[in-house]
Amino acid sequence: MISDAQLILGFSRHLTAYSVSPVHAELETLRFAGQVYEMAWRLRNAQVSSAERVRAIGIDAKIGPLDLDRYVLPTMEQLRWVQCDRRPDRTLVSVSAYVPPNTELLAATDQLLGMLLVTPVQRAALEIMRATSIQPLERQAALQAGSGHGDEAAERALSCLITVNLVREVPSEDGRAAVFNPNIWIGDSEMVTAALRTEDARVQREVGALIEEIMASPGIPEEHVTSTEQRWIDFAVSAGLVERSQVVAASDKKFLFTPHLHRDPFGTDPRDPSGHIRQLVGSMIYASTFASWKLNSPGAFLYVLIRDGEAGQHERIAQDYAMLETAGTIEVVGDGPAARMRLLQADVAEQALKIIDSRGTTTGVANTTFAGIGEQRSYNHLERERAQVASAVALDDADSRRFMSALRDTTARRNF
Amino acid sequence: MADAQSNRAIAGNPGADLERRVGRLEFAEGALARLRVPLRVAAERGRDILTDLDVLAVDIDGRLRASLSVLECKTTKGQSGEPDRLLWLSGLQRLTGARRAVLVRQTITRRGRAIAQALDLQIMDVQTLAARETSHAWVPERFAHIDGAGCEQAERRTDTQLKGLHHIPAGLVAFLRADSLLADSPECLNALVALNSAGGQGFVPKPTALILASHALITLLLAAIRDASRLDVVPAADLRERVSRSVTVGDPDNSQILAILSQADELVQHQVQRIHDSYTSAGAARQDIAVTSLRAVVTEPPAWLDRYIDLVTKLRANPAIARDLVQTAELACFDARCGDTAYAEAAFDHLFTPEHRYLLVTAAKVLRDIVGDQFADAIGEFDDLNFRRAAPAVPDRSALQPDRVTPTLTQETRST
Repeated sequence: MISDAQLILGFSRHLTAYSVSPVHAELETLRFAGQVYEMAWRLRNAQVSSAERVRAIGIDAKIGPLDLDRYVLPTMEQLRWVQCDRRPDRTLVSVSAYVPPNTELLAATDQLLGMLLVTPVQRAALEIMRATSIQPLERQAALQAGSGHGDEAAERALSCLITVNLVREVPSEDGRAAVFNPNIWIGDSEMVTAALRTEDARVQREVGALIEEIMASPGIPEEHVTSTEQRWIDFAVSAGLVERSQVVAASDKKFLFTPHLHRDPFGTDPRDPSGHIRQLVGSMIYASTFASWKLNSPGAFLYVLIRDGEAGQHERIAQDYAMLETAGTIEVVGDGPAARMRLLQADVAEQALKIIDSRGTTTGVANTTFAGIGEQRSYNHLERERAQVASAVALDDADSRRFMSALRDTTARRNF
Repeated sequence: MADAQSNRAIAGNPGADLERRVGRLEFAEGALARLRVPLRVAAERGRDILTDLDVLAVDIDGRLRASLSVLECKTTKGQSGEPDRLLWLSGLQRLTGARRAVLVRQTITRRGRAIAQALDLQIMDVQTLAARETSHAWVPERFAHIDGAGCEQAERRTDTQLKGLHHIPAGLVAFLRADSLLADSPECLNALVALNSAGGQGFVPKPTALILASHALITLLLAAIRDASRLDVVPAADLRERVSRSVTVGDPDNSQILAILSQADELVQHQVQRIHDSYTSAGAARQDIAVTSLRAVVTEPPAWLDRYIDLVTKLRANPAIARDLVQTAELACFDARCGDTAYAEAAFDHLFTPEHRYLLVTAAKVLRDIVGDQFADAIGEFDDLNFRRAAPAVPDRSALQPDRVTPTLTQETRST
C-alpha cells in the first residue's frame, strides 16, 4: 500500500520539475503538505538548528526562506513537530525538532490534510494517484477510485494529474481509454490491453490486491500469496502486470515481481530502510532470471559481497542496478568487464541474505517444543489469588482485563 | 530517605556536613551526586536496608558510559577504625558494582594509605577536600539533593503524603529514589511503566506528583544514557528488540518465556476445544468464545517504544550535551521546581543552554508517554526556566559570586 505521506511527498517533489501552471495553483495545498513532510524528514535527526541552517535545508528542499518562515514552520509548530525560538521582532533564532518516529509521521497525514482544509479535488487526486500507480485502469475505474469526493472533483483531479504527467491517458480502439502512472507502467498498447482485459473480466480488485502484496514483498514465492487465488495470479501474469520467474531449474519454485521494484511512482527514492532490504532481495532474485546478465546463485553472490565487500566483474552490473545505487545500498566501481558491486550497507545485505536463505521455508514462531521449559529459570508463577480469578469462574470483561494486566506485570517482573 | 536525612542533617552535625561537602564537590566535578542513599538487599520487610551510602555519584563520560562512585565519609580522628572502614568499603564497592570507592577521613595514616592502595581504593583527608573545594567556590553551598532547603522540604512532605497514598507501592518509590541509580535500563523502564499503572489508580497530590515525576525523569535519563552507550555495540533495531523484550517479558536476553506462552496457548486452545466437543456431543449448541492468546497479550510492545529509541539515538548523537543532562535535570527538577534559586548561579550556566533544553524537553515528552499525563504535568516542559544562558568566557571559579546580572544568550542576541 502506498501511504498518503509518500504520495504527498512524491507529488510535491514531482511538481518542482514543472514550470508553474494553473495546476500548481489548483493542487497547491497538496504541494504545501509535501513541503511540510519534506522538512519534517530532513529535520528529523537535527535536534536544535540555527535559523541559517534551517534556511539552507529549506533552500536545498526547494522551499524559499519566505515560504518556510511564514507557512511551513508555523504549520509544523501547530503539529508540535518543531518549536521555533524567535526574537521579539519575530525573526527566527533557532528551531528545535521534535519530529515523531516514522510510523507516527506516516499516520499524521489525516491531521495535516484536515488542518490545511484540503479540497475534494485534492483528496480525489491522492486517491487517483494511488490507484493508477498500483495498476493500469480503465478511465471510468480510475474516476471511480476518486468518486468518494464527488464525481466532478474526480474528473477535475484526473485532468490535473494528466497535465503534470503523473497519469497518462491512452485511448483504445473501441473508444474507451486506459489511465496509468507512466513512471511505473511502460508501453502504451500493452497497458491499454491489460487495463481493458482486467476491467472486462471484472477482477480489478483481485489483481490490485495481488499487485499490492507483491509490491510489499517482491520476489514472494507464488504459493505464499494470500491475497487472491491461483487463477488470478495466472491472469495477472498473462496480462503482463506481474512477472513470474522460475529461479533454479531443479526446483519448481515460482517467484513474483511487479515493476514497482525498479521504479518509483515519482522517480524518487522513498528512503525507507526496510525497503532497501526488500529491494536487494528482489534485485538478486530478479537478476537470476530476468536481468540480461543471469545470476546463478543469488545467495552465493550476496555472501561474497558481504565477505569481500565487492563482487561481480561483469559489464552488465553497471547498467542493471541503478535503483540499488540510488538507495545507497551498493555502488558500482570500475566499468566495462571489470565493473563490480561494492557494498555500502552491510546490514542490509546480511538481512537480505537471511531472507534469501530462508526463502520458501515457512518462518515458524520461535521454539515450539517442550524441551525448553527445563531451561527457564526466571518464570514466576502467577500469584495464587490472581490465578484463582482465572480458574474459578467465567471471566467477565473487568476480570479478564485485570487478569491480563496481572499477567503482563508478572512476566515483566514489575512486582513492586 | 528524607526522614533519615532530616534527622541527621540537624545543625551542627559534623558527619552530615562532611557528606554535604563531599557531595557538592562531586557535583562540581561533573557527577550526579546524592547523599545518604539507602542500599537495599533482598530481605524481609524492615531488614532490607543494609546501610546508607554516604555519597553516591554517577559519572557519565564522553562516550556516555556511566560509572558509579561510592564515597564513605567518617569524622573520627586518628587511626581508630581506619583499616576496618577500608575493608568494609572494599566489600561495599563489590556489592554495588561501583568502579570507584573513596574513603574520606579527617586524617590519613601511612598504614591506611597502604591498605587503600592494596585494595585499589581511594582515600582522601579533609585537608585535600578543602583544597579541592577552593577551586569550586562559585558552586552554591546547598542545592537540589545536596541539602537544598526546598528539595528537602518537598521530599519530606512527599514522605508524609505517601503514607496516605496506598495505591503507590513503597517499593516503587524506593526504587525511583535510590535503586534506579544502581540499576540497569530494563529495571528502570519497568519501574516507569509501574508508576504509570500506579498513577492510574488515583489522584496524586503535590508535591508527591512533582517529586515522583522528577525522580522518574532522572530514572528515564539514566536508562536512556545507558542504552545510548549500548548503541556502540548493537544497532538501534536490536536495541529496540531488547527494550521491547525487557518491558514485556522482563529480561532483554530471554526469549524462552515466549515459547512457554505459545505452549500455554496451545494447551488452553486444546482444552477449550475439548470442552466444546463434549458439549456438542451432549447435544448442546456450540458457543463461540474468542480465547485471548497469552503470547499476544504479553508481547504487545508499548506505544512509546519508538519514541524512546529516538531519544536514545538523539542522546548518542550529542554526547557532549547528553553527559551533563542528568545534572541539568537534577537542578531543574529538584532545585528550580522545588522553589530554590541555586540553579541560577553562574556555576551552573554551562548546564542551561538551548541544547540542554532541547534534550531535556525531548526526554520530558517521552516521560509523558511512559508515565502518563498526571505525573508529566507536574514537571511540565520547563518553559519557565531560562535556558539561554552561556558559560562566562573567563569564569571566576574560586571566588564566591556576588549578586549578578546573568549574562545570557537572549540578551546578547536581542541587543544586536
